[in-house]
Amino acid sequence: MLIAEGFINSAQLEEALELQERWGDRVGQILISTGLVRRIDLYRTLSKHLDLPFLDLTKEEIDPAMIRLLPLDFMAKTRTAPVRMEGDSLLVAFSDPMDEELEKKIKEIVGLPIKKAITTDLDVLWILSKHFESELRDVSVFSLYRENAMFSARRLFTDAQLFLFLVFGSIVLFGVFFNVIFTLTMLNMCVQVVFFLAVSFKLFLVLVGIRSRIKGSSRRPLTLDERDLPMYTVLVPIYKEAKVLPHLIGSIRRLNYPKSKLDVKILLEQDDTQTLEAAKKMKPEAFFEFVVVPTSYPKTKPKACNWGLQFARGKYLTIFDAEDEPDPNQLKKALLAFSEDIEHTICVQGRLNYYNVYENFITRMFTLEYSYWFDYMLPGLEALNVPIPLGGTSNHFDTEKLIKMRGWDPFNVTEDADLGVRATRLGYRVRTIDSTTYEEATSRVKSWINQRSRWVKGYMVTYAVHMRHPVQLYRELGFSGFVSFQLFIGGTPFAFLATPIMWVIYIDWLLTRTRVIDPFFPAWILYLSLINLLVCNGIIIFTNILAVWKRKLFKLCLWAFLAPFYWILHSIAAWKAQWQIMTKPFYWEKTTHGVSKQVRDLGFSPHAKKA
Amino acid sequence: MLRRHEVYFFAGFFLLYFFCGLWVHGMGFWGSEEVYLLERALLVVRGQPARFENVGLTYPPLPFALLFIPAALGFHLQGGVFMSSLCGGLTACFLSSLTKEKFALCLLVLLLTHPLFLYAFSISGSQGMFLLILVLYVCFHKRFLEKRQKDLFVFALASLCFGVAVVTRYETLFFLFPLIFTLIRREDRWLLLSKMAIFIFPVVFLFGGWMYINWLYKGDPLYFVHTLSMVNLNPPVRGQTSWLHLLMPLLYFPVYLVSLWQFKGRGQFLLLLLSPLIVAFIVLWFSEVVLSLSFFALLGGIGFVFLKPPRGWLRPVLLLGTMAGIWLGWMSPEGWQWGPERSFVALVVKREKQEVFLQEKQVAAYLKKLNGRIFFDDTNGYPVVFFHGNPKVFILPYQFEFGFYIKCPSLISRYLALPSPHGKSDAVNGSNSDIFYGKNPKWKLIEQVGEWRIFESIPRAFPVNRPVDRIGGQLRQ
Repeated sequence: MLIAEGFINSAQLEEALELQERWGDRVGQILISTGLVRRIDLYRTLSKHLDLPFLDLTKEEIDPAMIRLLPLDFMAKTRTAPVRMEGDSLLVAFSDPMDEELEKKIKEIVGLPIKKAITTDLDVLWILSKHFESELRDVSVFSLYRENAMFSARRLFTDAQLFLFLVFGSIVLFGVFFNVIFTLTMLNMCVQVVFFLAVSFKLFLVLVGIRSRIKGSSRRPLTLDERDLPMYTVLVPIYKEAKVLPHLIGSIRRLNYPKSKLDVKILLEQDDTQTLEAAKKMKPEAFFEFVVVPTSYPKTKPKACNWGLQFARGKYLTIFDAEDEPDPNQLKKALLAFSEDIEHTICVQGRLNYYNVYENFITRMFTLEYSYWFDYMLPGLEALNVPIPLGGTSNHFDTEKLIKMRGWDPFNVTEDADLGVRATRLGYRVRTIDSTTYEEATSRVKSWINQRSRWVKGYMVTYAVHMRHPVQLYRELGFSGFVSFQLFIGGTPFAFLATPIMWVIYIDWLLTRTRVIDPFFPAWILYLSLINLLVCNGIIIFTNILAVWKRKLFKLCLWAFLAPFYWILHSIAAWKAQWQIMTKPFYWEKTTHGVSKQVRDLGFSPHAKKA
Repeated sequence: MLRRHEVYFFAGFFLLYFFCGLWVHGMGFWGSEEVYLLERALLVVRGQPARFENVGLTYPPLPFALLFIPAALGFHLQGGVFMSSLCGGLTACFLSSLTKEKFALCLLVLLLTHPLFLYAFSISGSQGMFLLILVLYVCFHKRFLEKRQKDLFVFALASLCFGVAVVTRYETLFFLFPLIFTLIRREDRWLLLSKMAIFIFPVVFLFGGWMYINWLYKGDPLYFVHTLSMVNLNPPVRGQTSWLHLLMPLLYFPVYLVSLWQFKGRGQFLLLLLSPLIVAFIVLWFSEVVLSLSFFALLGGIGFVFLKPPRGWLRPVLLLGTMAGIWLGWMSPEGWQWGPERSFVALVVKREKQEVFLQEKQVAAYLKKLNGRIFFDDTNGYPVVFFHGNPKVFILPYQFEFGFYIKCPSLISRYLALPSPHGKSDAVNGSNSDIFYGKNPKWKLIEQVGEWRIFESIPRAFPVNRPVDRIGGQLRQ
């Protein structure tokens, strides 16, 4: 019929049939997901073929009572919606009218005879968003808090934590008043010990990570039968990034996965009119869906993701950022990793790196940092079977388990790190895969500090949330997990905060040779602080030098020596984060993308060019 | 996870070395470096601030830091032995993990009972630690070469071990010269640069850190070199004898010779294998002094790391050769140039004779009666005298700017104990050849005990300038 109507020619049909052989999906689905036929044309033709009315739900009168006859998640998943009563029958719009099982099930639920009509899946999505906005918003924002407030950062500190802060602060004040030398010496000791342990632990993780990479390098080849592949949801939250939309669409298109089994949701904010306008003009293939997230607070990425999660159709789900260039085979690699321990694995984290490496000092250092973080540290954490703070993108989830966990915490600005810890606490396993997503490294100092302050703030929030019941945390994570959590999640911001204080004391001493600080540096603290100054800075540089190895970024080798200067930026960001924790803990410092000179000048990243 | 035989090797050799050390202690002999380090640690325990400036700043920091822990915990007398034997146990465990073959394990048992290993891992102070770290280093470096220089993990471990070795013993720096060449291949220059950076960075940073501490406390980043200057003050071992001494340790460890033969055509491996000899050669060439004999225990350790267990007739030959090496070790003490090893062997071999250290004990008894600081080079007999005398009054050359005060001990002490310079090497005799024979106007002989002479400084010989006050101040710290 499509040929007869002139929507496709026979060659295109042949092509679709070939793909059907490979992908094992319906021809119609393949036609619209490959862009050979427009969605609206297919559905209209189908309605003629099946002799069913076609409904444009954006113009139809919807009965608010009737639409609630079916559960929201059911409608979102099956893309059906009751419209109104017509006589004794309930008019139900189907995006898949040939599914007889579905029809039966709906009849069972509503207990009424039904009258079938055809509509597009986007139309269903649209009316669900419209009629269930408050419920969807409520779930997106409060689902985790209502299910288990202990895991939510909505209330940052519990009463017990505030009481402890008060007690600790009082002890310090009391100590300063009555024995200032002893008190400050003890504080100094704590700073030195935690700093030393946190940095040493990172070196340990890097070494374990390098080793685990070697062990895991004999991965299975990608021998998956595409007919057996499940539906995969890809969430892409974007905000004020109209410029990178074409880049984003191109990157997703390059994924080596049957397009008819992709469910890509580009999550746009309602108040972001510029990106909304750009999206309307794009008109990509049918597997792309533009989902508008209504404006509400907190205005964070995890809230948008939770919104998208409610419409996710995939058995697995992943998140990419707008400027991402994922490895085309990443979804398949993730599926292989899931299949190794399908029962316990909730998440598989891909590796992140940057495509604008050589742009300036910031991008070089950022690349070094990401290289050792994702290539060595996270595999190190995985090898030790301790909580992995997930990266912001390229984390692949088992959708069902993610929904059970109530998705992301919208009140946490590093919802990914929090989710990694929460998953481990609940007995799930997080794994890493050797598949890289290339991103755009922010190349401006101010933008870098903003982004990093959000990350550090998020780590602080995550630490506060999970330390509400330390004994319970210890029981759930075990000794190694608990220690790792303290040093990695707690120790990282602590080290950033402590560094400038120690540097100021040191430089002051160096310039003035003041003896004022002597009492606060008894022998072994002095030794430890010297070790921190000399060895820990050495460790930081050494891990950066090692980072160049795997990605063959050997030209960055000498830049690794500048790592201590890069740490100064970390400290600035950490103090900003500390300030924000007190003033606006849920504020999302947005990172602007599409400003990279490389992307701006060329219009694409080197990886996109290769692909 | 450790395999069973590795645990046995660790436990067995740890206990062997530990009890060997205690047994030797029981006979009144202490390793000089062990005593020095413990004395420094004890000063701290006795209430002196544990600051680097108070421990001389001339000695590599790691051995002191590790010996400080047992001293601070209160078992200072056994601390040195404990740390050395722990290193010995770990070395045995590590070497045993390299093979499962019975022949190789038997060979290892024999090898580790060589007197050089017994000395190094029981009472030598930092020597055991140095051996352990260097053996680990060589093994990781070898694996890196075996994997076509692609395994970052072993390379990172190798470079870390190498960096740590430098702050255990300074002469490790000389290893850089041969080892750099093992990494050079025809490849991308940036890759080569990053390999060099990974390899050299821990050394540069740790050693640079040590120089920084020297600068911080003494205003001179090369202050520690004063210890090295001791090398030049030792009576040089000139001529053909010194080269023979360099080659003699090869006879102790046939396993090393076999490894050399097995790797004869493989340049980078051969260079790595030869590196201890190259270092010994560099030291001998530039300073005309042979490195301490226990340094050459390294040949046994790395010889085993490289060894591909031979087949056929070579097996019994190698076992017999190793036994002969052990026999040679015990029976040729007179050829050894380094005092403590010679004393150790003499003590073990001649333990039934009461006259071992008799003179040193008599010296100690005499020195006890004196009232004032005693300058003493620790190269000969000092450990025995220290433990039978009054430790608080001794001053070691290490404690001061070596190059200067060793030439003029009267500046800092009232008494001077000197062994006969015949056939023994010590820095005081080396730089004051006239004192022992009574030709120095600043010193008068007050006692002679066998080969030992004790001198008292003549008061008028003291200069009346300020350095004395400064030294006094230093001692009071």
